[in-house]
Amino acid sequence: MKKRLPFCWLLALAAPAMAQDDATLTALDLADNAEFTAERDKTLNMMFEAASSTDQQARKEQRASLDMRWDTPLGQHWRLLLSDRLDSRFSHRLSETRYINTLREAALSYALTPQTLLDVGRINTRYGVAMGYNPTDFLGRGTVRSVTSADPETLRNNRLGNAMVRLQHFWDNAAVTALWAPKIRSGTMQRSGSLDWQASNPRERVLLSASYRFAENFNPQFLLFQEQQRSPQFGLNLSRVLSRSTLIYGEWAGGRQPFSWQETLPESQWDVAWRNRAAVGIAWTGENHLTLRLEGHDNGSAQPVPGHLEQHRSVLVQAYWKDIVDQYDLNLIAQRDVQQHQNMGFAELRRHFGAVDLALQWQKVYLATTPERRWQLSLDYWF
Amino acid sequence: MPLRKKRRMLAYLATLLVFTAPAWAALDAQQILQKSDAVRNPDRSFSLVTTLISYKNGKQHETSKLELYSRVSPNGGQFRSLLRFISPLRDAGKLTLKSGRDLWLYDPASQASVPISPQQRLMGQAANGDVVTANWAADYHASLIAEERIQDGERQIRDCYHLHLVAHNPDAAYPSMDLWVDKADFKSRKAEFYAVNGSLLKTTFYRRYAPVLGGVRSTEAVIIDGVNANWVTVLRQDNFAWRDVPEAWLQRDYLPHFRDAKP
Repeated sequence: MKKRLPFCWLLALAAPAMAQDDATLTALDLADNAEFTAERDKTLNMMFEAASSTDQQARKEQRASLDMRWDTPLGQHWRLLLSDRLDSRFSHRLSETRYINTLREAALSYALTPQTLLDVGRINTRYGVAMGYNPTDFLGRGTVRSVTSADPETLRNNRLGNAMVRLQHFWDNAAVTALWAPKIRSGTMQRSGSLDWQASNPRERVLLSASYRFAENFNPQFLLFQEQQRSPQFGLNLSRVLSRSTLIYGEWAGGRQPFSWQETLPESQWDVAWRNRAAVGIAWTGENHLTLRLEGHDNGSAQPVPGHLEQHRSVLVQAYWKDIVDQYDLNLIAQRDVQQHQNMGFAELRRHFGAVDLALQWQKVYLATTPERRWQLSLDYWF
Repeated sequence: MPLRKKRRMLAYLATLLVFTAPAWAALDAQQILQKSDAVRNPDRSFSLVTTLISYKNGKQHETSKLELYSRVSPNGGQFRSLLRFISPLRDAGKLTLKSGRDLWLYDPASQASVPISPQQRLMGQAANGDVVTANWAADYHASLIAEERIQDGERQIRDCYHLHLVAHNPDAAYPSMDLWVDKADFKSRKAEFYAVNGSLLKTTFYRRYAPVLGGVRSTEAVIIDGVNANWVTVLRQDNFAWRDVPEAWLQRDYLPHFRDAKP
């Protein structure tokens, strides 16, 4: 009995360190019984969206959209990519149904070597690190065929790629890309199934880009863009993580060019000068996963003229809170044109139900000089 | 061997043991941490599949599946990693590249690679730092708090080193953490991760040790939220494979091509 006493003491002393509280035991029980089901890695991803919207004049519109992306390897060196979206809009009279098909991408890739890749076809490229305005996104202008939301991210997702030949080479710390996008003028923009080459390939264009990782936290990207009968444009993309929660970024593009609104006029009427475009921003994410973003935009190619709404200087503020309440995401974006004193806004509350998302959006945009406010309720189903 | 010589030999061996014992008994905290890293992490590039299931109040909340590719960075001994979402379907094909302090998110829908901050969460309580591989000895200063007997994630009693880790590298996923390393085999059994203000972010139990990638490594982590203990994420790893992960893949310009990497 005497011999057992020290052991009991030891147990009593060790007990606080060893005992696991009820919550921990419950968590471990949950983990013991977790069921891990097999999920396939799919090459075809599809999404169906049904949306209903109404504006301040109580004009209603319904939309059904089918979005697909097929990305599949063809043997060891080849890869096929197809990405398409069909938007069907109708009001209360079904006879007014309108279809718009957006062939975003259709391309073949070939790996010449593991470090050298060649792509041919319609390819979506996006350059730039900012959210609301990307001056270095030289190939993205005018490629949105069907506007389904004022959210800049949605606009980027639903746009046409450009027909091009692209060659990329990678080293351990660097990458270079050369692409040639020819002028293709065929197809009518208004036709629902048009490939809309006028929008994606209006002029012959060449883009060279290079990035070099000078350090783990410094990897700038340089761009040189040349359009048929235009002066070369230069671009730079930078970003830097300041801390676990804070990121700063900026992009700049510059070159001799006319004001944007003059591009439809005869060249003799252009006012050509060196013009800078820039976007800088800071994003902060808290431990509660609220992300706050502040961006400033300066478009030196924009000049306020009646009927043209391009913003010269604007400020964008975003608050994005994932899981603000269980399975609910909140996204608020406000943008102010500091010269024309116009405010634009986007607010979305999104609820996830497994493979289904339900989203309620409010948006305020400008059509010419008139503001339009619109509510939209949408249901997305991925399959 | 004559008896005298034998006794002398035994005495010599005993002396040797007495004098060398403190050398291994007094492993410093940083060495313990290095040994635990060696158990947790393979020494060359590899890939695996991670499945995460999160629970709230006992009910299944979210599920996601990711493929992870990791490669040791040539400078500093830290890993660089690429994560590819397999599910949920709304995120399928998205990539996260973690290269030192740089983090990039690639979305195949927009073909855009955008920078993100390390604090951006993946799902549940799992941050990028929980899913990607990390050599903690490269990012943290360790101190030995105590030698403790704890109950591990499989409810076994283990004699452990209790280490306190403070980040000296701003790339570290957490500013500080407490780690319990098994004295017998240097397996990580439990960790507590803290925020900048010292509050507990989460407690993680490492369990289901199994022979994978040339060692016996944990294949499951149970993550319990530091504020709400009813919020639990189970992270299970399988499909382990040695993979050649070239440096070129770990660049943001390569992200649109990454699917090519699959054999």
